[in-house]
Amino acid sequence: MSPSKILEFINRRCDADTAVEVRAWITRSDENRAEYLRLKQLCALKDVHRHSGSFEIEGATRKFHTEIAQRRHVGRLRRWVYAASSVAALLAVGLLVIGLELYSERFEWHTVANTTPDEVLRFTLDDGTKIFLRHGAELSFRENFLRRRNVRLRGEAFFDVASDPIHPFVVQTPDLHIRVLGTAFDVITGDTTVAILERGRIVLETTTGKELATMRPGQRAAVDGATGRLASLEQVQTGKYTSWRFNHKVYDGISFAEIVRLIEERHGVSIVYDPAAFGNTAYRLVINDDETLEQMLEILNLISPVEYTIQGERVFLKKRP
Amino acid sequence: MDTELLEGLSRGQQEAFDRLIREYYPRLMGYARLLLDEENARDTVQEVFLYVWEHRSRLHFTAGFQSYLFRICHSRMLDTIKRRKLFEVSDSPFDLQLREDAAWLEHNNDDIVRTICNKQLLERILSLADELPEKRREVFRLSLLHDMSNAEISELLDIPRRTVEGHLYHALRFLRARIPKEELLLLMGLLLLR
Repeated sequence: MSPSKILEFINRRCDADTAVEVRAWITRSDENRAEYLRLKQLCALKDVHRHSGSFEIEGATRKFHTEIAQRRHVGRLRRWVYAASSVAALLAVGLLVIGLELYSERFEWHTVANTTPDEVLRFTLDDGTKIFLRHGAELSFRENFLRRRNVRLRGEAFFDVASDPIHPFVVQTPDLHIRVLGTAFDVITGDTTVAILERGRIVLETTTGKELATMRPGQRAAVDGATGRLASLEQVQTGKYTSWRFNHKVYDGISFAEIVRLIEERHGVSIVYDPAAFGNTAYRLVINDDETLEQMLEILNLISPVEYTIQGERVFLKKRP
Repeated sequence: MDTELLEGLSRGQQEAFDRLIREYYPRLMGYARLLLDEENARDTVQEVFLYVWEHRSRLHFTAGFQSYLFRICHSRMLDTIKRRKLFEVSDSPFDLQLREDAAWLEHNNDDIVRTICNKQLLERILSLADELPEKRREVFRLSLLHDMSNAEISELLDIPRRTVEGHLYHALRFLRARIPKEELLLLMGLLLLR
């Protein structure tokens, strides 16, 4: 058997016929098997070498630190709660209910916080639900999440919930519970809690379980935290509110002059141009966070043909005839 | 593994973990690749470091730290295989072999870890490879160190496939002749290749 074939078999790169051939060779004798295994170990040594590049190790180190930054444990629950609840459960049936409630408290809350410099932290919960956590937001869930899909949110997040009719998904905010069947929506907590529904259906409830509204796709609802009442429910263009999760910003009805000001602020430059030459048309602008100055100026060029020269912190802009 | 580093780990010092990753990432990758493809191996090795971090306070790091690390990696690998259903009962030659390899790893774990952690052996092979004639050395490096297939090498160097195979065969024989028997115990019998 040629070593090349065995190597390709180890790397799972040979065709089906060769695979059958090599496998038959390996099983033919102990000697062959031993030889295969030695080659396998040589490959392991080779892999050690292959993965010892400083670039790859730096990447692994960075990934490790990002991961642990996200795993901030919140509120370690005390053991006596569980012990007390067990005793209570033995005492009376009436107390059993409370006991069970406390029992579930036994599971620790875990919190994922977007403390990264990025606008969006994207991750997937164990049930397949996709979460887009906006900068500064925190999402907590319990260890028994798959059995009780309750999460707590502070800040803004977009949810793309995996459908599971048996286990309703509930987002808890200080003033509001949002009950969900498979769906995608945005929640912003604060004095007023706002929910924007992209698709599917969600039910807004007070923390005590009183139903406030059932939302339909394309709606935006605001609930006043102080009174616990529905403040508004309106049809909106949801993309405007939820597209932050793609890490880009949408500016609606922005004029040429406003775009220029935006560029000046973002890139710390001053742009010298004649506003009168460009008129007052309103544009819809969608940009990514990491757009460079040149890319932004190219966007201007798309809107209206321009020529530009960059000199340090000044940009000279001229309308092209 | 010195006590200073171990202490740093148990106190969760960032530099200690950086050092741990620098030192063990390549070896754990080599180990994980015994059963997993590259992508799954990478995820699994990350999990090992995270596991050490999460259990840092409960651990008493002692001399057995290295084998502890590989033990965690081993159980994570089996987890990954189970989770990704790589053990799915299939009769494809690859899957049959994977199951056998897993059993082999289980029974010879200590020896295999020792081979993987044997830096001198790796360096010896690499420096011996430098003595090969130019073309042969290139084929050997591309095949083993860069994981290229014979077809890719033959295309890249513009030589027939059979020539690539010939170079590889002779390169391995050359190595066999120069690595002492003791060190060959596990590894180099491969050069009995006919």
